Amino acid sequence: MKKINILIVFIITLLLAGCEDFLTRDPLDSITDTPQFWNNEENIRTYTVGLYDQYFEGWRSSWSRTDWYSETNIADWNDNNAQNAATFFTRVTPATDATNWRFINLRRVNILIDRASNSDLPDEAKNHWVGVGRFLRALEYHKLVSKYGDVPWFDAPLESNDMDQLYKQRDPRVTVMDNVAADLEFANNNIRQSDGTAGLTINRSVALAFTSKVMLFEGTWQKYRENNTAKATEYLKIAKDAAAQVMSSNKYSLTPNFKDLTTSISLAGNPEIILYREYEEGVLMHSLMSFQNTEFQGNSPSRSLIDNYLSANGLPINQDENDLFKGDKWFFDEIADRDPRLHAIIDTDGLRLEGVATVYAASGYFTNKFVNESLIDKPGGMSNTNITDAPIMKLNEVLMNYIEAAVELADMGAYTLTQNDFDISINKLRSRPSTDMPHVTLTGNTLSVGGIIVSDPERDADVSPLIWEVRRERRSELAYEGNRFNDIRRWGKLEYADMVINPKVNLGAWVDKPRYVEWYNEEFSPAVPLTIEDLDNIRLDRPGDAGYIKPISTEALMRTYSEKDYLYPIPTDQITLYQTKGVTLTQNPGWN
Amino acid sequence: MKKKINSFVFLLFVTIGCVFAQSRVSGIVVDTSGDPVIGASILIKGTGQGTVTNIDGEFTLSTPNDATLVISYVGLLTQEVPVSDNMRVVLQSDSELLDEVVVVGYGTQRRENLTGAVSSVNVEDAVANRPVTDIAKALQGISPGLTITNNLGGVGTESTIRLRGSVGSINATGGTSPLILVDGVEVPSLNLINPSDIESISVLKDAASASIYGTRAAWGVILITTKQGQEGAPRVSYSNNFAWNTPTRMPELMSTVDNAEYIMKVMRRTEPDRNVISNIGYSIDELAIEKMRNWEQQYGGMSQSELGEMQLGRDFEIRDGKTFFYRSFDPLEMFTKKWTPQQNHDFSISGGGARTTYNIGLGYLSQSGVMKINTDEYERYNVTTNTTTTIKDWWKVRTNVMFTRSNNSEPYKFTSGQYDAWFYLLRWPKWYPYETYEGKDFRSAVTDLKQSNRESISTNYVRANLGTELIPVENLSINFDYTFGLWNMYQKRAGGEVVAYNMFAGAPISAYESLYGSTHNRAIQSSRYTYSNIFKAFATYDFSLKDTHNFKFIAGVDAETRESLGHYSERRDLIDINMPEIALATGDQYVNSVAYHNDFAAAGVFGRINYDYLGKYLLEVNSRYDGSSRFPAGKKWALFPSASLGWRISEESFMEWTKPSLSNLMLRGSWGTIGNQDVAANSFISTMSSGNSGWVMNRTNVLYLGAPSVLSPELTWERVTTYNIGLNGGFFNNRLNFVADYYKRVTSDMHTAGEALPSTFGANSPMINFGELTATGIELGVNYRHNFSNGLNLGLSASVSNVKEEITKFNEEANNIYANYKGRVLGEIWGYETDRLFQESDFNADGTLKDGIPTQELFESGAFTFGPGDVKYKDLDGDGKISYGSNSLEDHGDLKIIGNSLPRMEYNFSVDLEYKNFDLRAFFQGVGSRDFWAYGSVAIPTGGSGFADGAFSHFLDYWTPQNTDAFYPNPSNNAWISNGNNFLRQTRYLQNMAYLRLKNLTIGYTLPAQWLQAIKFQSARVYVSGENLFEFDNMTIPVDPESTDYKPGYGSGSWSFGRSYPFSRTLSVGMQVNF
Repeated sequence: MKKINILIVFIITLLLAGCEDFLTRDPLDSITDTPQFWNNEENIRTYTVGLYDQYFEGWRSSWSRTDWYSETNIADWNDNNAQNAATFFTRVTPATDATNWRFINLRRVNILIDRASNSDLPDEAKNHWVGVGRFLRALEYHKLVSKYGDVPWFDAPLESNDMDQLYKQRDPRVTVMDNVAADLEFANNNIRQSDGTAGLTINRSVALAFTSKVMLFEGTWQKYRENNTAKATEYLKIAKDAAAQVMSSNKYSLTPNFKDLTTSISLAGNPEIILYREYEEGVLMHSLMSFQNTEFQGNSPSRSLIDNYLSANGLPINQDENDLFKGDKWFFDEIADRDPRLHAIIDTDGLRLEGVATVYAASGYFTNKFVNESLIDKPGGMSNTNITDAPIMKLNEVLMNYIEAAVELADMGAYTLTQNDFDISINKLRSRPSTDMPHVTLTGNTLSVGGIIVSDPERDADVSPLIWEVRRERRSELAYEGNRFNDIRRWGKLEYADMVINPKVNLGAWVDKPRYVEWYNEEFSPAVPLTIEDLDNIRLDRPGDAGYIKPISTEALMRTYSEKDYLYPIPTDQITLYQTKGVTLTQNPGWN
Repeated sequence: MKKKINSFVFLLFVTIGCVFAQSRVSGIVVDTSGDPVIGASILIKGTGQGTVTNIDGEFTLSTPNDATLVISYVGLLTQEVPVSDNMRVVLQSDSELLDEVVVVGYGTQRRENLTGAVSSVNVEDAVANRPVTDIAKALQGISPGLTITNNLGGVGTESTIRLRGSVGSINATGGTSPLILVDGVEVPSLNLINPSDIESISVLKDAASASIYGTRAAWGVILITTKQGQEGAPRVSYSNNFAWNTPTRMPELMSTVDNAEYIMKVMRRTEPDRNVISNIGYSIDELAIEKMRNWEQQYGGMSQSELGEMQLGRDFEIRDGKTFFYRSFDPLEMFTKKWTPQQNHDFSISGGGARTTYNIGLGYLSQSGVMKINTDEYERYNVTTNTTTTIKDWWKVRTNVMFTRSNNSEPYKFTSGQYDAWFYLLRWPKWYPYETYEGKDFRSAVTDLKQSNRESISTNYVRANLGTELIPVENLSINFDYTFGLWNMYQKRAGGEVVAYNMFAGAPISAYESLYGSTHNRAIQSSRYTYSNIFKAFATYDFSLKDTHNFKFIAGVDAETRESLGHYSERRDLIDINMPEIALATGDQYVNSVAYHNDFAAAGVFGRINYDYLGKYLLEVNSRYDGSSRFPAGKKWALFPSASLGWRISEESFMEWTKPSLSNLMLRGSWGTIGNQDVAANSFISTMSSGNSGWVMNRTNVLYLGAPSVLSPELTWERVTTYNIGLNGGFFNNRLNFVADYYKRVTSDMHTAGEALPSTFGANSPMINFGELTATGIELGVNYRHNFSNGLNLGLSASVSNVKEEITKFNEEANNIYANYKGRVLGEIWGYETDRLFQESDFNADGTLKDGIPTQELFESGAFTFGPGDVKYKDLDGDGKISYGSNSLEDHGDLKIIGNSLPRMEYNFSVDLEYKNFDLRAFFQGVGSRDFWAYGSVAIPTGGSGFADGAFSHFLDYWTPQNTDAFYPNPSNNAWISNGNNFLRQTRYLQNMAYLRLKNLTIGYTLPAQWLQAIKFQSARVYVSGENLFEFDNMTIPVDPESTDYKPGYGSGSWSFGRSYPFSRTLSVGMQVNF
């Protein structure tokens, strides 16, 4: 009895004494945020790689889509595609918006900068990682500013009780972009020339290339949207210099075949690629190719995009001197002797019409910019199991950033253009073996090709002939790469995306139904001949059996734009929340 | 204690009994009303010899003079009496439960002395006589306050168990569940327990009775004990049950013609000029509708086997590069079984000698799935053994070993996270081709099943307990127990390929190909383990002072550790697809990030004092000093006290006048606080999650670490305080009993997101101890039992419970109606009140609304505008437009609370009848109110992908200019819409999930003892039983009213609502024999 009592007392004492230890169970499968963790460069690398797919989405994965080609706002809200059903700019101010008014990644990036700065790494390594962090922060703020204009600037992770910072007013756009420019400058001076796997890791060239993109956006925005010539000049100079640094580094060169950039199973070793996203069967796969392979195209090239492409003689299709263009009333005439880059983005075997082709296109033109022919009937090219790699930053975009910044600077009198500027950019692109287009010559304030001044009768009167042609080249070279919406916004030309103002957005191929039926039956000799009735579902822009395909006929169903569409609305829940603290979070103009 | 006396008696019997001669005894057995008990079993204890009473209740028997007789009868309490001359044995009715001993935390308590809210389950009625496969299903509706929901049909599925409310703490993801202890130790799932092994079930509902178990008992405790051996000759029993299940109800697809017309209508809403529509390889136009009609007339009467393969021209044709299908299929009829079998068998042996008793139980269960092809199979095996050995009078040793193995085998799923075959059989219209063409399959869910290998999940649970009890002095017992538990789940998946005409590629009879790619040529193995160690030591001491002051003390310690880990591995390119082993694959290898590893420890010191004065005034005080590894250093320990009081009013002298009608009346009250450690893991340490970055380098998805989590340094325990007031009463010798409880449970210092922070913070607000959730509820139970003199025994019982959970404190100023806010009643559904359907007369000629009709343009888009036949919502705030304001409490426009998704007023009642050898039990269970806003195309007519998914017959009553009084609106495209267009959350299409259901009906027959003696059986009963035989409900869609959840699928699993594994009605037969 006594022994037992002693035993009980002993056990209780033992348990209580050892309890604090016994009850201490540190996490076994998650890393704790400690200073030691950040003193290891490989750990920082592991943290940083988690941010890559946030900024370098490529083609995302599975069925999730990015801004390439179609089916996201940025991809759709422009003039590249005719659409079966119009996508509309945001119409009402959302109550919440966790996808755009979002600071989660900013926090992640600021933590990277903070922890790397305070680590005990050697200076070179420390500056590299701080540089990577500041580069990503610049990308984050570029995204926020391009959507919202003024946004609050934070250069450190916020504490949950720092109410002054949390409820800070929006900083002026220029203040934020000056900070972005400073971040980029630091990044461009400190990020290693090479680091990690080439093409898949942030290095100096990646930072410079993105600098040209970000600053071109902001420079032109300042010029066209804000009328701030001083800032426009400053930013465009940064853009041009950064592009020039990439170009003069000679690390990258154009790849011979234009289409390889967007259809390769592997982009490793492609000399033009500065950064790409790798896809691998069973590891990470996307669906972009499927939408240009096995899926019906409710969005497909518009008249506006097709007409952008020059004739093979380097002249706009409708320029008087152009005797090569055979008109757009018959598909094979229309695509004959055109810029080969047109052939690289559409199916040249013929139109894909409703009633004829199982997989048809809204405009009749079937785009295939992302189709790798060898995968067409394989799982790697179908469904959500596509395996082609995604280019994220490439030399051709840098060249176009360079020349556009240059002509815009020249337009403001801040730079004198030379023939060399065109030779190292547009003419270089045109020398690409698969493109092989005539070179342009700077002739006064215009360009000429083979002695003929390029003068497009369709030119927007607001835009100088020189800038007009540079923009055309950009569109031809970079179509469907997710730039167009931001391009027309920064140029102050959102009206191009308005289906009423710019009817070409809502027009497709010219279809002469009797002629098509006759051609079809002759060409394919089908067991059951095609009839005109089979084409009944194709809606044309005029009465009768011939006309341009016009997918949307009711004006009420067409997309129109208004001035407020240049900026996104700030979600109302945030405005309400700020009000509870007595702070006014201002809404963007035109939204309420 | 009782066992000790028994052993003593037994010893006495063995040593002395053989000396004396045999003699004949006679006697009579009566019940409490003096009526003779016919057919009562009389057994000489420790032997197999015995007899039964005759029609006058009399018996005679040769026995040793000092023998003990065991007298039993169904529905009456078994008695043991020493032989004497002219015996008169009064058997008490089972319902006279007052003397019953109820299992409570660390001991037992006489029912009359219970001061906490404890209910015990009649295992015999609830479990033993029903064809239930897991106890959870049997407990549904059995104990007031205990809510069991079987959200999902299907084999081997888990039930959700809630006690006194669904949520408990808003921070507990997935709600809070009571602690389930089997023989004092937690089990991972009730599915692991064989219902036949159960001896008793108690439900500890208030803090006062549960707090002795500490933190994990914050939401109550279900105590289950397993059968122990009884001293005596070996008793062998066997029972079985054969059951057949059939779906309670399933949606029905529209006929081909109706469906095609429906789709055309949907399409023309947005594209009036379009004439043809195509989706995943099939097309529809007006000509096709005509041909479907013709097909129906010509071949509609023929069976699929008569029709044979798909014939081009007859069943489908190709026009203009499009494929049109005309033939009609009924996929449910073709591919699912009307009745699916299930069987279980249980076998047990128990007995023991003077020093050792034992019980061994074996169980087997098998269930088969509903698909005709490659169906699911579920099997479970149980072994349970309990032995107790008395080494010395003061020293006992016991062991308890439990082993369960279950195996769930099903066809390999080619797309992870995709819905199961049910979804797809009910997704496509009836013309979807389920027959082959030229010997080749079309792509379909059935083709996948046909060609797929199997995958299986097996679960093994083994638990070994070693315990000892020391009784150093009288009334003091000291117990030590150690239990080791190992739970393991092992999944094996064998991939392969499916080759078919790829409908989805848009070219039905050209693309005959492998559908899912070579990545499925693989073997996958993954496993999960949980190891637990549980140690308990406690001492019990009781004594009385002058027989008026009775004391009972318990003091003890317990400690537990639990470690869990899991891994996943995969290898591609099998050498032989029929040997899916990692060792026999040649390709790339993968490990998946589902790997995890964590560790947990808890410990506590506890004590309890029970005191009563003359059995009239009762007091119980508990206290527990509890520690958990979930909390940071310095905050690991906390003290949680509780107390309860009881007053047996009926024992007071001033209540004398109520005798004998009032047998018992007791008022009780309790208060207690328990800490809740059921909070998210790593709530107190800033950790960085890891996972696949989605960034591939060198063919590897590179690992990344996420942002460190944001913590509040102040965070500490949540506290759960329960106040309970109860009243028990018994009348007429306790033939009529009632129990009533009212309680209030306050979860305070709840872990809630701190003050809402603006998006600029870049993370969720860190958790703080702030919120408060109050649950208030009532529970009432009544039962009545009467034995009529003609031999008819009647039992009636009913109970009802209700609980409401409301947030009484919350740190949120925005008062968003879809988030938590102070005053929010959990489960509330905000929506619009439906006015009616728009009619043509509401519109002007140009399509605009007539003056005075509130506009609904806020919900219009390019693709949808309101017109005749669409839903008209009520403008409750009268501002001329339908709007949600700012979705806040202060400004919610026309929104109002239209219902509540949590079950209210749960009730049940049962009738038991016994007459002669027959017994009948009917058990009804119901939910008084519950609403549900259902998603998915069974609830919301969708249109579906490309407008052209299958539509259901119950949508046929849709608006047309001719059918203006329809239930459903003018067809429009609501693909993947859950809350928009015509189907904004609203009163008209809100599902009322209240129901009353005959849960169980059992009719049994006990074979007469005379027959049994011939075949040496002690007793035998055969029965037929039905589960879910019928119900009353108000569903407007063909979905079972208990079905409130979904089989998970990709995107939102909710889309499969009504298109997942069905609920079943079950018919079964079974027998129970003892020999």
